[in-house]
Amino acid sequence: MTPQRYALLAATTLGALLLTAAYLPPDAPAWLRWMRPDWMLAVLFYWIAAARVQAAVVCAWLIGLLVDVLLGDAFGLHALTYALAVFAAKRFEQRLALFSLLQQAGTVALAAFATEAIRALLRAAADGADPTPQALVSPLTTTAVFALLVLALPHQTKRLV
Amino acid sequence: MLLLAASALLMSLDQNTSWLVPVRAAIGTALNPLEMIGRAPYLAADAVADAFVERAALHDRVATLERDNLELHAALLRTEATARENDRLRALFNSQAPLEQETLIAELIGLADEPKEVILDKGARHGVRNDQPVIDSNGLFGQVVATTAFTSRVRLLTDPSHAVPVYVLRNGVRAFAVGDGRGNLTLKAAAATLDVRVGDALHCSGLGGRFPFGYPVGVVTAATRNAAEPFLRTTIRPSAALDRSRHLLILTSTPADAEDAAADSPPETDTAGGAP
Repeated sequence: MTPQRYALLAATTLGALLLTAAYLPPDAPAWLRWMRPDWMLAVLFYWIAAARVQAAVVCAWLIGLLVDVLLGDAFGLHALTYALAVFAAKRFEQRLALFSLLQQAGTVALAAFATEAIRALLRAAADGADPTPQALVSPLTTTAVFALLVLALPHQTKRLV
Repeated sequence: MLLLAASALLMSLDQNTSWLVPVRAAIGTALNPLEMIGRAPYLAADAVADAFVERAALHDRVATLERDNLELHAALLRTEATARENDRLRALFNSQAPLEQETLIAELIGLADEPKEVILDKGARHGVRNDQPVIDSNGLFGQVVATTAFTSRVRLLTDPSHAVPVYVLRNGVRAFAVGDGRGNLTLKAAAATLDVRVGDALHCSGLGGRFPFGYPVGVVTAATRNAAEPFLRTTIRPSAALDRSRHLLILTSTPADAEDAAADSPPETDTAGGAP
Protein backbone atom coordinates (compact mmCIF):
# COMPACT_ATOMS: atom_id res chain seq x y z
CA MET A 1 0.00 0.00 0.00
CA THR A 2 1.74 3.14 -1.19
CA PRO A 3 1.05 6.72 -0.07
CA GLN A 4 -0.12 7.45 -3.61
CA ARG A 5 -2.87 4.86 -3.31
CA TYR A 6 -3.97 6.22 0.06
CA ALA A 7 -4.01 9.69 -1.50
CA LEU A 8 -6.16 8.39 -4.37
CA LEU A 9 -8.73 6.92 -1.95
CA ALA A 10 -8.76 10.07 0.21
CA ALA A 11 -9.05 12.37 -2.80
CA THR A 12 -11.94 10.45 -4.37
CA THR A 13 -13.78 10.30 -1.03
CA LEU A 14 -13.25 13.98 -0.29
CA GLY A 15 -14.25 14.97 -3.82
CA ALA A 16 -17.44 12.91 -3.65
CA LEU A 17 -18.36 14.34 -0.22
CA LEU A 18 -17.72 17.85 -1.49
CA LEU A 19 -19.97 17.31 -4.50
CA THR A 20 -22.61 15.73 -2.24
CA ALA A 21 -22.47 18.80 0.02
CA ALA A 22 -22.73 21.22 -2.91
CA TYR A 23 -26.21 22.71 -2.79
CA LEU A 24 -28.13 23.49 -5.91
CA PRO A 25 -29.47 27.05 -5.96
CA PRO A 26 -33.02 27.38 -4.60
CA ASP A 27 -34.39 28.34 -8.03
CA ALA A 28 -32.81 25.33 -9.79
CA PRO A 29 -35.36 23.39 -11.89
CA ALA A 30 -36.66 20.10 -10.49
CA TRP A 31 -35.23 18.04 -13.37
CA LEU A 32 -31.72 19.22 -12.47
CA ARG A 33 -32.18 17.93 -8.93
CA TRP A 34 -33.46 14.59 -10.23
CA MET A 35 -30.34 14.24 -12.38
CA ARG A 36 -28.06 14.72 -9.42
CA PRO A 37 -25.87 11.60 -9.23
CA ASP A 38 -25.02 9.71 -6.07
CA TRP A 39 -21.37 10.80 -6.19
CA MET A 40 -20.30 8.65 -3.26
CA LEU A 41 -21.90 5.50 -4.67
CA ALA A 42 -20.06 6.03 -7.97
CA VAL A 43 -16.77 6.36 -6.08
CA LEU A 44 -17.50 3.23 -4.02
CA PHE A 45 -18.16 1.22 -7.19
CA TYR A 46 -14.91 2.59 -8.63
CA TRP A 47 -13.14 1.35 -5.51
CA ILE A 48 -14.45 -2.18 -6.10
CA ALA A 49 -14.28 -2.40 -9.90
CA ALA A 50 -11.04 -0.56 -10.61
CA ALA A 51 -9.20 0.24 -7.42
CA ARG A 52 -10.06 -3.06 -5.70
CA VAL A 53 -10.23 -1.85 -2.10
CA GLN A 54 -10.38 -4.67 0.45
CA ALA A 55 -12.08 -3.14 3.52
CA ALA A 56 -14.67 -1.33 1.42
CA VAL A 57 -17.86 -2.49 3.21
CA VAL A 58 -16.96 -0.96 6.58
CA CYS A 59 -15.58 2.18 4.89
CA ALA A 60 -18.80 2.46 2.86
CA TRP A 61 -20.91 2.18 6.02
CA LEU A 62 -18.94 4.88 7.84
CA ILE A 63 -19.00 7.20 4.81
CA GLY A 64 -22.73 6.55 4.51
CA LEU A 65 -23.21 8.02 7.98
CA LEU A 66 -21.46 11.21 6.86
CA VAL A 67 -23.66 11.40 3.75
CA ASP A 68 -26.77 10.96 5.94
CA VAL A 69 -25.77 14.03 7.94
CA LEU A 70 -24.88 16.02 4.81
CA LEU A 71 -28.20 15.24 3.12
CA GLY A 72 -30.33 15.32 6.28
CA ASP A 73 -31.63 11.81 5.70
CA ALA A 74 -32.51 9.31 8.44
CA PHE A 75 -29.28 8.46 10.25
CA GLY A 76 -28.12 5.10 8.87
CA LEU A 77 -30.08 5.16 5.59
CA HIS A 78 -27.14 5.79 3.25
CA ALA A 79 -24.87 3.75 5.53
CA LEU A 80 -27.17 0.74 5.07
CA THR A 81 -27.58 1.10 1.30
CA TYR A 82 -23.88 1.79 0.67
CA ALA A 83 -22.84 -1.20 2.78
CA LEU A 84 -25.35 -3.42 0.93
CA ALA A 85 -24.27 -2.18 -2.51
CA VAL A 86 -20.57 -2.61 -1.77
CA PHE A 87 -21.13 -6.03 -0.18
CA ALA A 88 -22.97 -7.18 -3.32
CA ALA A 89 -20.26 -5.71 -5.57
CA LYS A 90 -17.56 -7.45 -3.53
CA ARG A 91 -19.27 -10.81 -4.14
CA PHE A 92 -18.72 -10.33 -7.87
CA GLU A 93 -15.41 -8.49 -7.57
CA GLN A 94 -13.35 -11.00 -9.60
CA ARG A 95 -15.93 -11.16 -12.38
CA LEU A 96 -16.38 -7.38 -12.34
CA ALA A 97 -12.64 -6.88 -12.83
CA LEU A 98 -12.75 -9.00 -16.00
CA PHE A 99 -15.76 -7.17 -17.48
CA SER A 100 -15.42 -4.56 -20.20
CA LEU A 101 -16.29 -0.99 -19.21
CA LEU A 102 -19.71 -1.33 -20.86
CA GLN A 103 -20.47 -4.50 -18.90
CA GLN A 104 -19.23 -2.88 -15.69
CA ALA A 105 -21.43 0.17 -16.34
CA GLY A 106 -24.47 -2.07 -16.91
CA THR A 107 -23.85 -3.89 -13.63
CA VAL A 108 -23.33 -0.62 -11.77
CA ALA A 109 -26.56 0.79 -13.25
CA LEU A 110 -28.52 -2.22 -11.96
CA ALA A 111 -26.92 -1.93 -8.52
CA ALA A 112 -27.58 1.83 -8.42
CA PHE A 113 -31.26 1.27 -9.32
CA ALA A 114 -31.54 -1.34 -6.56
CA THR A 115 -29.87 1.03 -4.09
CA GLU A 116 -32.25 3.88 -4.96
CA ALA A 117 -35.25 1.53 -4.73
CA ILE A 118 -34.25 0.36 -1.22
CA ARG A 119 -33.72 3.98 -0.19
CA ALA A 120 -37.14 5.02 -1.54
CA LEU A 121 -38.81 2.12 0.30
CA LEU A 122 -37.10 2.99 3.60
CA ARG A 123 -38.00 6.69 3.21
CA ALA A 124 -41.61 5.76 2.49
CA ALA A 125 -41.65 3.54 5.59
CA ALA A 126 -40.05 6.22 7.78
CA ASP A 127 -41.71 9.43 6.58
CA GLY A 128 -44.45 8.32 4.17
CA ALA A 129 -42.53 10.18 1.45
CA ASP A 130 -43.58 9.48 -2.14
CA PRO A 131 -40.77 8.40 -4.48
CA THR A 132 -39.64 11.07 -6.94
CA PRO A 133 -38.39 10.65 -10.53
CA GLN A 134 -34.92 11.02 -9.03
CA ALA A 135 -35.05 7.31 -8.16
CA LEU A 136 -35.14 6.56 -11.91
CA VAL A 137 -32.86 9.28 -13.30
CA SER A 138 -30.13 9.44 -10.65
CA PRO A 139 -28.84 5.84 -11.16
CA LEU A 140 -28.14 6.66 -14.82
CA THR A 141 -26.08 9.74 -13.97
CA THR A 142 -24.36 7.79 -11.18
CA THR A 143 -23.36 5.16 -13.77
CA ALA A 144 -22.03 7.90 -16.08
CA VAL A 145 -19.90 9.29 -13.22
CA PHE A 146 -18.60 5.78 -12.48
CA ALA A 147 -17.59 5.32 -16.13
CA LEU A 148 -15.81 8.68 -16.11
CA LEU A 149 -13.94 7.72 -12.94
CA VAL A 150 -12.79 4.43 -14.44
CA LEU A 151 -11.60 6.20 -17.59
CA ALA A 152 -9.94 9.13 -15.84
CA LEU A 153 -8.41 7.60 -12.71
CA PRO A 154 -5.72 4.91 -12.37
CA HIS A 155 -6.93 1.36 -12.92
CA GLN A 156 -5.36 -0.83 -10.22
CA THR A 157 -4.59 -4.50 -10.65
CA LYS A 158 -3.49 -5.09 -7.03
CA ARG A 159 -5.53 -4.80 -3.90
CA LEU A 160 -5.23 -1.44 -2.22
CA VAL A 161 -6.02 -2.01 1.47
CA MET B 1 -25.15 -8.50 9.19
CA LEU B 2 -23.69 -6.46 12.05
CA LEU B 3 -23.65 -3.33 9.90
CA LEU B 4 -27.23 -3.92 8.75
CA ALA B 5 -28.39 -4.31 12.34
CA ALA B 6 -26.45 -1.20 13.37
CA SER B 7 -28.04 0.77 10.51
CA ALA B 8 -31.53 -0.38 11.44
CA LEU B 9 -30.90 0.51 15.09
CA LEU B 10 -29.58 3.98 14.16
CA MET B 11 -32.56 4.68 11.86
CA SER B 12 -34.99 3.56 14.53
CA LEU B 13 -33.32 5.69 17.21
CA ASP B 14 -33.17 8.66 14.83
CA GLN B 15 -36.88 8.40 14.01
CA ASN B 16 -38.22 7.73 17.48
CA THR B 17 -35.87 9.44 19.93
CA SER B 18 -33.70 12.53 20.14
CA TRP B 19 -30.64 10.62 21.40
CA LEU B 20 -28.76 11.04 18.13
CA VAL B 21 -29.34 14.80 17.82
CA PRO B 22 -25.98 15.68 19.48
CA VAL B 23 -24.18 13.08 17.32
CA ARG B 24 -25.72 14.53 14.16
CA ALA B 25 -24.90 18.07 15.28
CA ALA B 26 -21.27 17.13 16.00
CA ILE B 27 -20.78 15.38 12.64
CA GLY B 28 -22.61 18.20 10.87
CA THR B 29 -20.38 20.81 12.48
CA ALA B 30 -17.29 18.82 11.47
CA LEU B 31 -18.61 18.72 7.89
CA ASN B 32 -19.44 22.46 7.83
CA PRO B 33 -16.23 23.37 5.93
CA LEU B 34 -17.29 20.96 3.16
CA GLU B 35 -20.72 22.58 3.02
CA MET B 36 -19.19 26.06 2.90
CA ILE B 37 -16.94 25.06 0.01
CA GLY B 38 -19.91 23.35 -1.63
CA ARG B 39 -22.01 26.48 -1.61
CA ALA B 40 -19.13 28.77 -2.63
CA PRO B 41 -19.93 28.66 -6.39
CA TYR B 42 -23.53 29.60 -5.67
CA LEU B 43 -22.48 32.53 -3.47
CA ALA B 44 -19.92 33.60 -6.06
CA ALA B 45 -22.57 33.53 -8.80
CA ASP B 46 -24.80 35.71 -6.60
CA ALA B 47 -21.96 38.16 -6.01
CA VAL B 48 -21.23 38.36 -9.75
CA ALA B 49 -24.93 38.87 -10.54
CA ASP B 50 -25.14 41.64 -7.92
CA ALA B 51 -22.04 43.33 -9.34
CA PHE B 52 -23.63 43.59 -12.76
CA VAL B 53 -27.03 44.93 -11.68
CA GLU B 54 -27.80 48.16 -13.50
CA ARG B 55 -27.87 51.43 -11.58
CA ALA B 56 -31.42 52.19 -12.76
CA ALA B 57 -32.66 48.79 -11.58
CA LEU B 58 -31.08 49.37 -8.18
CA HIS B 59 -32.64 52.83 -7.98
CA ASP B 60 -36.09 51.36 -8.76
CA ARG B 61 -35.57 48.66 -6.15
CA VAL B 62 -34.59 51.17 -3.47
CA ALA B 63 -37.63 53.33 -4.32
CA THR B 64 -39.93 50.29 -4.04
CA LEU B 65 -38.38 49.25 -0.73
CA GLU B 66 -38.70 52.81 0.66
CA ARG B 67 -42.38 52.89 -0.31
CA ASP B 68 -42.96 49.44 1.22
CA ASN B 69 -41.12 50.55 4.35
CA LEU B 70 -43.38 53.59 4.75
CA GLU B 71 -46.53 51.51 4.29
CA LEU B 72 -45.30 48.86 6.72
CA HIS B 73 -44.35 51.52 9.25
CA ALA B 74 -47.84 53.01 9.08
CA ALA B 75 -49.35 49.53 9.47
CA LEU B 76 -47.04 48.84 12.40
CA LEU B 77 -48.19 52.02 14.19
CA ARG B 78 -51.79 50.86 13.88
CA THR B 79 -50.82 47.37 15.08
CA GLU B 80 -48.94 48.76 18.08
CA ALA B 81 -51.99 50.79 19.11
CA THR B 82 -54.17 47.69 18.76
CA ALA B 83 -51.67 45.58 20.72
CA ARG B 84 -51.61 48.11 23.59
CA GLU B 85 -55.40 48.19 23.65
CA ASN B 86 -55.42 44.39 23.62
CA ASP B 87 -52.97 44.30 26.56
CA ARG B 88 -55.19 46.68 28.55
CA LEU B 89 -58.26 44.53 27.86
CA ARG B 90 -56.36 41.41 28.87
CA ALA B 91 -55.26 43.14 32.06
CA LEU B 92 -58.90 44.04 32.79
CA PHE B 93 -59.79 40.37 32.44
CA ASN B 94 -56.74 39.41 34.54
CA SER B 95 -55.46 37.34 31.63
CA GLN B 96 -51.87 36.68 30.59
CA ALA B 97 -50.26 39.06 28.11
CA PRO B 98 -49.02 37.61 24.82
CA LEU B 99 -45.31 36.98 24.52
CA GLU B 100 -43.30 39.25 22.28
CA GLN B 101 -41.64 37.08 19.67
CA GLU B 102 -37.88 37.00 19.42
CA THR B 103 -36.81 36.40 15.85
CA LEU B 104 -33.68 35.73 13.88
CA ILE B 105 -33.31 36.55 10.19
CA ALA B 106 -31.81 33.71 8.15
CA GLU B 107 -31.02 33.24 4.50
CA LEU B 108 -31.88 30.14 2.54
CA ILE B 109 -28.69 28.59 1.17
CA GLY B 110 -29.79 25.22 -0.19
CA LEU B 111 -32.52 22.69 -0.82
CA ALA B 112 -32.83 19.03 0.03
CA ASP B 113 -35.14 16.81 -1.99
CA GLU B 114 -36.20 14.03 0.34
CA PRO B 115 -37.61 14.89 2.76
CA LYS B 116 -38.61 18.39 1.65
CA GLU B 117 -36.25 20.59 3.58
CA VAL B 118 -34.29 23.79 3.13
CA ILE B 119 -30.95 24.73 4.62
CA LEU B 120 -30.51 28.09 6.37
CA ASP B 121 -27.31 29.98 7.16
CA LYS B 122 -27.98 30.20 10.92
CA GLY B 123 -27.25 27.40 13.36
CA ALA B 124 -26.82 26.53 17.03
CA ARG B 125 -24.18 29.25 17.43
CA HIS B 126 -26.86 31.84 16.61
CA GLY B 127 -29.41 30.40 19.04
CA VAL B 128 -31.28 28.13 16.63
CA ARG B 129 -32.48 24.83 17.99
CA ASN B 130 -34.74 21.99 16.91
CA ASP B 131 -38.52 22.51 16.72
CA GLN B 132 -38.37 26.31 16.37
CA PRO B 133 -40.99 27.59 13.90
CA VAL B 134 -39.88 29.43 10.75
CA ILE B 135 -41.96 32.02 8.88
CA ASP B 136 -41.59 34.15 5.79
CA SER B 137 -43.29 37.47 5.08
CA ASN B 138 -46.54 35.67 4.14
CA GLY B 139 -46.96 33.02 6.80
CA LEU B 140 -45.71 29.82 8.41
CA PHE B 141 -42.88 28.20 6.44
CA GLY B 142 -41.94 25.13 8.51
CA GLN B 143 -39.88 24.19 11.53
CA VAL B 144 -36.25 23.49 12.35
CA VAL B 145 -35.49 19.76 12.41
CA ALA B 146 -31.69 19.71 12.65
CA THR B 147 -28.94 22.13 13.48
CA THR B 148 -25.18 22.28 13.19
CA ALA B 149 -23.08 25.06 14.67
CA PHE B 150 -23.50 27.26 11.59
CA THR B 151 -26.47 25.94 9.60
CA SER B 152 -29.92 24.53 10.22
CA ARG B 153 -32.42 22.42 8.31
CA VAL B 154 -36.04 23.44 8.10
CA ARG B 155 -38.73 20.95 7.15
CA LEU B 156 -41.41 22.58 4.99
CA LEU B 157 -44.96 22.53 6.30
CA THR B 158 -46.01 20.69 3.12
CA ASP B 159 -43.92 17.62 4.03
CA PRO B 160 -46.15 14.64 4.95
CA SER B 161 -44.38 14.32 8.30
CA HIS B 162 -45.27 17.90 9.26
CA ALA B 163 -48.47 18.79 11.13
CA VAL B 164 -49.66 22.11 12.53
CA PRO B 165 -52.73 22.89 14.68
CA VAL B 166 -54.86 25.52 12.92
CA TYR B 167 -58.15 27.36 13.24
CA VAL B 168 -60.44 28.76 10.57
CA LEU B 169 -60.28 32.56 10.68
CA ARG B 170 -63.97 32.89 9.68
CA ASN B 171 -65.51 30.83 12.47
CA GLY B 172 -62.74 29.67 14.82
CA VAL B 173 -63.15 25.95 14.04
CA ARG B 174 -60.00 24.05 15.04
CA ALA B 175 -58.28 21.31 13.04
CA PHE B 176 -54.90 19.80 12.16
CA ALA B 177 -53.24 20.64 8.85
CA VAL B 178 -50.68 18.14 7.55
CA GLY B 179 -48.53 18.31 4.43
CA ASP B 180 -49.57 16.24 1.44
CA GLY B 181 -46.06 16.00 -0.01
CA ARG B 182 -47.14 17.68 -3.24
CA GLY B 183 -46.76 21.31 -2.27
CA ASN B 184 -50.07 21.68 -0.40
CA LEU B 185 -51.62 20.76 2.94
CA THR B 186 -54.76 18.93 3.92
CA LEU B 187 -56.90 18.76 7.06
CA LYS B 188 -56.26 15.51 8.91
CA ALA B 189 -59.30 13.45 9.93
CA ALA B 190 -61.65 16.44 9.57
CA ALA B 191 -65.27 15.37 10.02
CA ALA B 192 -67.45 15.74 6.92
CA THR B 193 -69.69 18.09 8.91
CA LEU B 194 -66.83 20.49 9.71
CA ASP B 195 -67.69 24.04 8.62
CA VAL B 196 -64.82 24.64 6.19
CA ARG B 197 -65.31 26.27 2.79
CA VAL B 198 -63.18 27.10 -0.21
CA GLY B 199 -61.48 30.45 0.42
CA ASP B 200 -61.27 30.04 4.21
CA ALA B 201 -58.02 31.29 5.70
CA LEU B 202 -56.35 29.02 8.26
CA HIS B 203 -54.09 30.40 10.98
CA CYS B 204 -51.97 28.77 13.70
CA SER B 205 -54.15 28.00 16.72
CA GLY B 206 -51.17 27.92 19.11
CA LEU B 207 -52.38 24.62 20.61
CA GLY B 208 -49.62 22.22 21.53
CA GLY B 209 -47.24 25.07 22.29
CA ARG B 210 -44.96 24.62 19.29
CA PHE B 211 -46.34 27.14 16.80
CA PRO B 212 -47.32 30.62 18.02
CA PHE B 213 -50.93 31.73 17.71
CA GLY B 214 -52.08 33.76 14.74
CA TYR B 215 -49.60 33.19 11.92
CA PRO B 216 -51.28 32.46 8.55
CA VAL B 217 -50.88 28.84 7.44
CA GLY B 218 -52.85 28.65 4.20
CA VAL B 219 -56.06 29.11 2.26
CA VAL B 220 -58.54 26.32 1.50
CA THR B 221 -58.63 25.79 -2.28
CA ALA B 222 -60.80 22.64 -2.34
CA ALA B 223 -63.22 21.07 0.13
CA THR B 224 -65.01 17.92 -1.03
CA ARG B 225 -67.67 16.05 0.88
CA ASN B 226 -68.40 12.50 -0.22
CA ALA B 227 -71.39 10.70 1.27
CA ALA B 228 -69.44 7.43 1.26
CA GLU B 229 -66.57 8.87 3.33
CA PRO B 230 -66.70 10.02 6.95
CA PHE B 231 -64.01 12.67 6.43
CA LEU B 232 -63.78 15.94 4.56
CA ARG B 233 -61.23 16.08 1.74
CA THR B 234 -59.46 19.40 1.61
CA THR B 235 -56.60 21.02 -0.23
CA ILE B 236 -54.91 23.99 1.40
CA ARG B 237 -52.51 26.24 -0.48
CA PRO B 238 -49.76 27.40 1.92
CA SER B 239 -49.62 31.15 2.57
CA ALA B 240 -45.81 31.18 2.64
CA ALA B 241 -43.96 31.41 -0.65
CA LEU B 242 -42.24 28.06 -0.15
CA ASP B 243 -40.55 28.03 -3.54
CA ARG B 244 -39.57 31.70 -3.68
CA SER B 245 -38.71 33.10 -0.23
CA ARG B 246 -35.00 33.45 0.40
CA HIS B 247 -35.03 35.44 3.63
CA LEU B 248 -36.84 33.80 6.52
CA LEU B 249 -37.50 34.50 10.18
CA ILE B 250 -36.76 31.88 12.80
CA LEU B 251 -38.97 32.38 15.87
CA THR B 252 -36.42 31.77 18.59
CA SER B 253 -38.96 32.07 21.41
CA THR B 254 -41.93 29.74 21.18
CA PRO B 255 -45.11 29.54 23.28
CA ALA B 256 -43.52 26.57 25.09
CA ASP B 257 -40.63 28.86 26.14
CA ALA B 258 -43.18 31.36 27.39
CA GLU B 259 -44.86 28.67 29.50
CA ASP B 260 -41.48 27.73 30.97
CA ALA B 261 -40.78 31.40 31.72
CA ALA B 262 -44.18 31.76 33.36
CA ALA B 263 -43.57 28.67 35.47
CA ASP B 264 -40.19 30.03 36.61
CA SER B 265 -41.40 33.53 37.50
CA PRO B 266 -43.09 34.32 40.87
CA PRO B 267 -46.90 34.70 40.68
CA GLU B 268 -47.00 38.36 41.78
CA THR B 269 -44.71 39.45 38.93
CA ASP B 270 -46.24 37.16 36.32
CA THR B 271 -47.22 39.71 33.69
CA ALA B 272 -45.50 38.12 30.68
CA GLY B 273 -45.50 34.64 29.25
CA GLY B 274 -48.04 32.04 28.26
CA ALA B 275 -49.50 31.25 24.90
CA PRO B 276 -52.39 33.45 23.83
